[in-house]
Amino acid sequence: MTDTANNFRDADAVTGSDLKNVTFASSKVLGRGYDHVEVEAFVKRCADLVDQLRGQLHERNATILDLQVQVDTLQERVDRDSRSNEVANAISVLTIAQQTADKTVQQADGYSARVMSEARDLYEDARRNAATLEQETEVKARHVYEEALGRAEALERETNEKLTQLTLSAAVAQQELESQTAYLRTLRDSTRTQMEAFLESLLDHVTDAYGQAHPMAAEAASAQNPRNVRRSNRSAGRANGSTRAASTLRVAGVGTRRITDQIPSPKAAPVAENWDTDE
Amino acid sequence: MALDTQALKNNFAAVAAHGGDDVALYFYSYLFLKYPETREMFPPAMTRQRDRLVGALVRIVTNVDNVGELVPYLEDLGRDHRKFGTLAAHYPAVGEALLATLRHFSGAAWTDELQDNWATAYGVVAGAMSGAAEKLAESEPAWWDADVVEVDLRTFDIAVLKVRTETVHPYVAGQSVSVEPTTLRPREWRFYTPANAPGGLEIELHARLIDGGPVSTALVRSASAGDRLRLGPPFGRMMLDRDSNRDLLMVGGSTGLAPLKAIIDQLARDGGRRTHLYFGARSVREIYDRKDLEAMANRYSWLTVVIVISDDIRWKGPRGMVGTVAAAAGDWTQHDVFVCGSPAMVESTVKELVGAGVPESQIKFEEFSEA
Repeated sequence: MTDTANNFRDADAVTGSDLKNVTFASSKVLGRGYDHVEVEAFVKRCADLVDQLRGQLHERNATILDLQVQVDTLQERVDRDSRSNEVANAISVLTIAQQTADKTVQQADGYSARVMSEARDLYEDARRNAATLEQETEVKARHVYEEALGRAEALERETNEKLTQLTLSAAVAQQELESQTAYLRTLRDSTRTQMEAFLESLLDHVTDAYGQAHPMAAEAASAQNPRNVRRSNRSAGRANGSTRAASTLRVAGVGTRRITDQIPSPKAAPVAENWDTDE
Repeated sequence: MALDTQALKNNFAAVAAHGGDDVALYFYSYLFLKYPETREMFPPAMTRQRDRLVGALVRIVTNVDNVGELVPYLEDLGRDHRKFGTLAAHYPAVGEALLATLRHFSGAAWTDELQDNWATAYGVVAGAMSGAAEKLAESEPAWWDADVVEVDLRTFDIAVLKVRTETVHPYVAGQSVSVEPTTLRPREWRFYTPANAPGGLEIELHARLIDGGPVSTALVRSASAGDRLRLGPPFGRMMLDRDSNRDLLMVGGSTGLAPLKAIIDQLARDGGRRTHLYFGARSVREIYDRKDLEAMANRYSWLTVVIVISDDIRWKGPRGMVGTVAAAAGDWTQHDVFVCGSPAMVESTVKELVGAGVPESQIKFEEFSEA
């Protein structure tokens, strides 16, 4: 066996370069080929090494699997963490969105509340002012009314006083009027009496004069006796109307030619009626 | 497992310390992200909705060991949720979002035990709510569709609406119903009180405009005949005690008149009971239902109507706060009393009446919200 084959640094380890550089002693039996013992020993060492390496490989594989499981577990945890981070993020995004929405709505509500309360204040002010104004107006109206009433009463009093005075002076005037009327009546009556007396005397005179001029006619006239009738009727004429007197007046006024037709007519007395109704 | 209620309360307090609104924001974001189909059940602006959620959670957690208080509340809540289109399938989604939210804000304090505790507690809550909803599903619809028939704007901010439901709504005189202007403000709901006795299809609603209020603005200023509404189930305990034969005193401020008018309508159908109604408003113009008030006073011999005006020099009748005037006007100690109006009006009126010797047990009241 050569040095190289015998002198491996580590009896348990066979390296690649060992295998490349391995040399065997020549066979002593046949004088050619490798030494059988040396070759077998080398193969055995190689076989041991393979076994050993395989065992190690197994172990490592198991470790790798183990580690893989650990890696997976860790990966899963990392994933879950990132997922829960996502959830947390989503929650906070949602929260912020909701808060923004709330704020917007709150501002709108706040604005509406402000507008409403201002409107309400204005309304209340207006209402109070209106009420005050209404009351003031009522008070003023009452003042005006009372003043007007007072004035009206004063005016009425004044008017009543004046009326009384007027009534008094009217009574005086009435009295004066009445006394004047009485005076005028007296005057009328006396004038009438005087006129009648004058007319009678005038008629008597006419009759006398007529008789002297025409005795026949005077006799006829005397037979009719108009004057006697007239005289007897005079008092009655004064009581129930002076028809006769009026006729007489007319006779005296119109003329003497138609005297016989006119004298007996009781109808002709229109002028005197006015005087009579006055009494 | 037994519920560790103290652990729940402590954990909830710790979570709520992050700010109720932030917690609710996270909750809804999680829910909408995971179950996008739930988004359309809510209005665009969620501020009020979050307040409601936090309010409900606080109430539930506070009463978690008080079953007598909690169960009726949860049943009402479940019943009311039907009008939103809530189905049994939505409850697990909400539970998941709730637990995710609690876990998120608990940080390191979150434990498996806490998780189990909350899951159990939510199961009980969801069970009570959906159980009540399912029980009702057989007897009444989830909501009542209605049409606006007439809008009568009585003042610039008060309208009287006549609406017609498709089927008879089962409210009792004095109770309120939530109203959604489906066409004008979808997904926005507010409570209104019918002003007539139930039984017919036509319902009278008195709506006062709240500045910036989406529903009231829609009903008072925008609504017109033909607009669609949805009505929720009835709520409220201000109802007539039909077994009582005491005389009645009613004190209403502004649109707080509505339930009182409904009760008077009911009394008229039942034969009448001696009733004094005090209606309060600020100005003469705000006697928005004067015609009906006078008509009722003339028609019903058992009814006396007194109008009290607080701030209008033209009013020749009683002036002042309606509660003060009513309390001083007679001896009401033997009366059943109803009070309805703004929170401030209700508070002061009840105080005046109690001060005048009316037993609190005889006073029923309801206040309309200012939001």
